[in-house]
Amino acid sequence: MPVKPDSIEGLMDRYVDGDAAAFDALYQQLSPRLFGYLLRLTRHRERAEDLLQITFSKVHRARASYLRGAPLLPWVLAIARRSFYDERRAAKSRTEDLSRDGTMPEPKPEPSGVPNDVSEALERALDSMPENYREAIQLTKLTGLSVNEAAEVLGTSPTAVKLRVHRGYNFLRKELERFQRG
Amino acid sequence: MSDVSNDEVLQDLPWPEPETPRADLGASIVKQCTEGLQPKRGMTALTRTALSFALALGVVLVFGVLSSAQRPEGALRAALFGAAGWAVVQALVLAAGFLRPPGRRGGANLRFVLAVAVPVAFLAYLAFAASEQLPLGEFFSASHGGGALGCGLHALLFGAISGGGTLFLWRGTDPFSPGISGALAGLVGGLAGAVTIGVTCPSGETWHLWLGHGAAVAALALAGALLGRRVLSP
Repeated sequence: MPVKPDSIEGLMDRYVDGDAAAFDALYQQLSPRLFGYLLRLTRHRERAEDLLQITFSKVHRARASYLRGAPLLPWVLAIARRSFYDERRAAKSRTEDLSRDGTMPEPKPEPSGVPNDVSEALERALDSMPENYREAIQLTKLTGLSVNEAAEVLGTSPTAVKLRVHRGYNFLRKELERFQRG
Repeated sequence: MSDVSNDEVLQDLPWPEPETPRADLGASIVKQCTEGLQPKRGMTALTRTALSFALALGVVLVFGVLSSAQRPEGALRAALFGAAGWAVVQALVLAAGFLRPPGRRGGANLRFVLAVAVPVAFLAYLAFAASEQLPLGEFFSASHGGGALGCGLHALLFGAISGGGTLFLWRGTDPFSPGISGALAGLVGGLAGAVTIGVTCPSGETWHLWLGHGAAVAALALAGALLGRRVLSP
């Protein structure tokens, strides 16, 4: 199937052929979705930024092995996800995880009190949702992958993704009903 | 199962907008990825698949067929028929496991089943092809074990050449399921090693075939799964 030149796959092809402007355009298109995904995975802005840099660095190094015609967004998201889990595994094996200035990082404070609006209630519900439901919703609803693509990224079957999304929606619905009841 | 009702309820929610990373971070990433940028085009999936298959076939030809002149013609012919059959299986494993780009390949479950079912089928084939079976205790006490160990080590060595070459050819290509792809690369290599030793080894004893020839297939598939997570992931 021919690749459209203005699609992200087309931009990737031009980038692999040495076109720097194509990478700039590619970054503009990919980074918000990728950063949103990493932010939701890490729930920590600095770590998400580090992982964004690591992911693009891996994309750069692996550009010769990108197989022409392969869907690009799931490929990049899978690299980002693997980088996140590698980093988390490495962090677990360290006894202390110091931030860049050498101090112990402060844990993100849990939000307290009643959410002010539906937006905040939704954010909190997404944050408190089991990780596998959250990731399935993130990929399909917020990042725009198809169920099949999300299944590839998550390394599971499309049926399992549908089930996770379905359960995630049920979780959200219950949380939001609780918010609306006050 | 349907999630239509949920979609209807939840579609109007104020879903969070994608967040934009800091501009200076973006500038730094763009600079890092475009400085001195040169064209860098890798091999196509078809070329990599063909080279992986040629490597497996080459191992069987060089280390197996060319070193088996001393075997009786009938036995050699039977072994070559078996080798040809398993070459077809190797080609199918490569096609199902690698030919389509990651993201368009068969499901991870299907490829996992392939990685498990083919070694089992190979062990069943060895049992079918065996001409005698000693009790296990007798097999180990009658110094057959040493012969099986020698065959096993050779099968592992030949298999590692083919499997390692396949991993090398596909390095950095699969961020989705590198473990399963690695297992399939190891499986292709393991089959090449086992078939190679099968062409040269005159033993038809079941335990010898399973431990000396077949175990390498399972061992290399497992090693491929472990190595693949590092080598095949970008």
